[in-house]
Amino acid sequence: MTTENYWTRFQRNRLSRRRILSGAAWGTAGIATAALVGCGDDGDDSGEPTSASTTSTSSSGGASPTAEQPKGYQTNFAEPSTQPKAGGTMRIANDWDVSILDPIKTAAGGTIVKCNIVYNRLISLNTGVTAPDDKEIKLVSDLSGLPEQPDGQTFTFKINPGIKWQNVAPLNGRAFKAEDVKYAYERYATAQGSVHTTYFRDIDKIEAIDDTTLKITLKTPNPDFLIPLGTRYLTIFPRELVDAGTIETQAVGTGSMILKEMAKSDHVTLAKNPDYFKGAAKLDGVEFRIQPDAASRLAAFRAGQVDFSYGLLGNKRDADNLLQTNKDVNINISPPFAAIFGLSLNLDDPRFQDERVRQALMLGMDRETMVQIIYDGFGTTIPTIPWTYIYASQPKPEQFGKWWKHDPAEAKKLLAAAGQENLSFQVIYHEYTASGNTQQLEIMSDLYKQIGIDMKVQRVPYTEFNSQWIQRTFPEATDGWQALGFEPNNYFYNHIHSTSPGNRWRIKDSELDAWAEKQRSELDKNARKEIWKQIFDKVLDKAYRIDKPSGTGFTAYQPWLHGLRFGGPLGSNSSYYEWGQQMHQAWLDKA
Amino acid sequence: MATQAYSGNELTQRDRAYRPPALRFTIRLGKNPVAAASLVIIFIMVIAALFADYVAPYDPISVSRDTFQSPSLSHPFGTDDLGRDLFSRVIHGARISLFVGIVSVVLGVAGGSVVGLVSGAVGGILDLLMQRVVDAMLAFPAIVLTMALVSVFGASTMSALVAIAIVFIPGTARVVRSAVFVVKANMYIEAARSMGASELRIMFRHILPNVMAPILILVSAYLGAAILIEASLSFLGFGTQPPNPSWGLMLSGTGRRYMEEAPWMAIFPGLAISLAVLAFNMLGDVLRDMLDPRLRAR
Repeated sequence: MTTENYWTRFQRNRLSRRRILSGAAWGTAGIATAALVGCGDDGDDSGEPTSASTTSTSSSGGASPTAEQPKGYQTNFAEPSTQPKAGGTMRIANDWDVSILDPIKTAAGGTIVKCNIVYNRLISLNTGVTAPDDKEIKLVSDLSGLPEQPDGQTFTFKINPGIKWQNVAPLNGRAFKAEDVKYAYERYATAQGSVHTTYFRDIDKIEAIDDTTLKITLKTPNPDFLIPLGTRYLTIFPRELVDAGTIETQAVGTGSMILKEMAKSDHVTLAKNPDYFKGAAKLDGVEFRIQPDAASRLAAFRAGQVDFSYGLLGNKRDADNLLQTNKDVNINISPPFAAIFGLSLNLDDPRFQDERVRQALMLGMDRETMVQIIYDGFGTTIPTIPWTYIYASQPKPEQFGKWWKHDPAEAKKLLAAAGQENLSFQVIYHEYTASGNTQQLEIMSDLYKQIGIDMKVQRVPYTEFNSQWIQRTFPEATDGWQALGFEPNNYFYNHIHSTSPGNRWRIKDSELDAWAEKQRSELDKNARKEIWKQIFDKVLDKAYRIDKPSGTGFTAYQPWLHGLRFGGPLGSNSSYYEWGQQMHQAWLDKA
Repeated sequence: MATQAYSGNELTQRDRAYRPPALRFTIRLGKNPVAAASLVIIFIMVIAALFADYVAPYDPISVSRDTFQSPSLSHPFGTDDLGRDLFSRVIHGARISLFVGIVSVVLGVAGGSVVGLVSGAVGGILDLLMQRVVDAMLAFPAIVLTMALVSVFGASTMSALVAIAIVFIPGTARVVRSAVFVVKANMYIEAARSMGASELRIMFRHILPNVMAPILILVSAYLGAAILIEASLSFLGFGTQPPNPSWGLMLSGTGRRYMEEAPWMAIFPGLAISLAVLAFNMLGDVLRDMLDPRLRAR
């Protein structure tokens, strides 16, 4: 933080008009002398413009930033009442790059977004313009209807009629069968390299009774079992691509769009699937334009070159600025429900195994200042585990434990006790938006410097970051996205159980393991909630994750883009992933 | 034959008239207005970089809630999106830019000089092989080659420094090799060889001092280029990493993002880059004019 210095002391002196004019005159004379300095004799170095900087300071001025103008941002703007129009290609500026397409090997938004458009899920979440304001996850039909559940451990799904794989080799439009779901789920559950095995650990058997009936039997009851099946992570892919060895580079699904072309660092194009079982999309196609540079994406959006852009608005200031130049743009806000990014430590590193070091890192962070500086106050400081599972209303920071405050003195004591007074480590990260995690890390570098920690920041490309984060190979620390999920098991099992691939922090805590196992099969709601509270408190007390503040989400839509809406409960409808479920409803109203 | 006696006064006058070549060169440089202006700018930047801790009024990475402050007496260049004093960041940025610029150029030109010297002096198959490698490196634009190298080394200030140095090697080697061919044909080289001087001694004792003029010109010309490449790499995210202040890094990201509402965030680092590059390029031009015998004769 800044302290008083000679500039502030200098500023305190009253400036008279005469003094300003005098300074300007001396400044002008100084500049003129400086220009002539080279024309003198040997050693003629006099006339250095000592007051030039003062002159330029007083004259440069410049527009001050826009004062806070509260605007009526809404969580759901209205769709037009006119009939949707058909035709046109939706252009989307995005920051991810082309990478592997195999759904079992990735959970990164940029990777699975293509899969989510080309493939469908067995069942789905209620998302899009029809359900943007839901506060609870609701399951709806997709490839099948919602299952019959005769005993809580058996689920029988009926495949919807008329579903065909896209008319592209090697599928060539063959009929979709229950056997396809069985194959995909079994590969998710058992294949080498799958990052989604945890979802399937309770399954006893999957049976394709006939072409349209799928039966799943669980070993033990799991109250959350159905929710993951409806998420973006578990799309149904065909055996043919796996057998052909092209599943990582090719996607042929049942979805509303057919993947046409992928050019690394340039574009991904899709064309509408005329045989889509929910009815052909209104759009002729979609073009993702790969533009990692946030300023370029913003410029393209402002100029109307794209219909939607990833990572466009980092805070309210960005939204206000955009509305100044593009008054007709629609902006939706999404209040955060959990920490979206966090300083994620490699807990296999002996330095970070000492809980005092982690607790010092928690105490060294001034979350409130971060919210004020980065998000202009439009943000919140909440942990990764959504408080909604434990509390009826958002708790006060004191309820997040004794480390959830800014106390540099105590942090220093803890570091000294742990023998880490000069702790130094490197954080790798990918810059998702121009004013999000980079700013957080820059502030944290300053805050940690004040308690003697040297935190070095290393920006890496999207693919490199995600491969290290998802595969848990980052060396010391990373600024990891927190794998937001929609079912309690995501937070109370996948994130924390020592054997879960989703435990990217490498937490190894036998007590947490036991609680995670216990809550997974606990059918009594209150008893389960009690276990969740224990987990919630212990994760915070042990500071396994260094949660960062989150800003209110601002999402901009061009005024001519309709039928799409992101947000949704628990971030279930993120623009980083969820295009597939809405793509057939999207339309453009352009001349 | 009559001998001439010198009086004390004459000796004094001759002593006064005599000036070492380096001093004479410096005086000539100082008399050139363009060179003088360049040297003043470079001098100010070097002093600011060396004494950044004392010159800068604030810690360059220290954040505050005084975000987006326009230039004022307390913050002459304004503050950025995190409330950091831009004047302090530009001053500390000079340290990084000049350090990377000077060290990379010294390393690159030294490496290139050795390659050019050996290639030109030894000749034959070694010259042929070395020059084909140089050709291959010259085929890539400098920024593309540095980006490729930094991708291999990992993005950091030191990686950028090494990459820039490597990029300067082929150009230097080619220029020095040409100069070596000219010097090699002189009689004094033949004389040294006939007196039994080793090839190594001839190379470093007789050829190298005589090819210093183009090397000096290259150094000054490359300094501007090195600063620009470092800024470009940082701008693209391949160089200096946040929160460290680098002119290129300040220009990219939030500098451009808030260019309309807080133009000072882009103007001052941009101005610093322009001034530094301009000063080194102007100095390089003057040095070339003064050291090139053909241009000097005009």
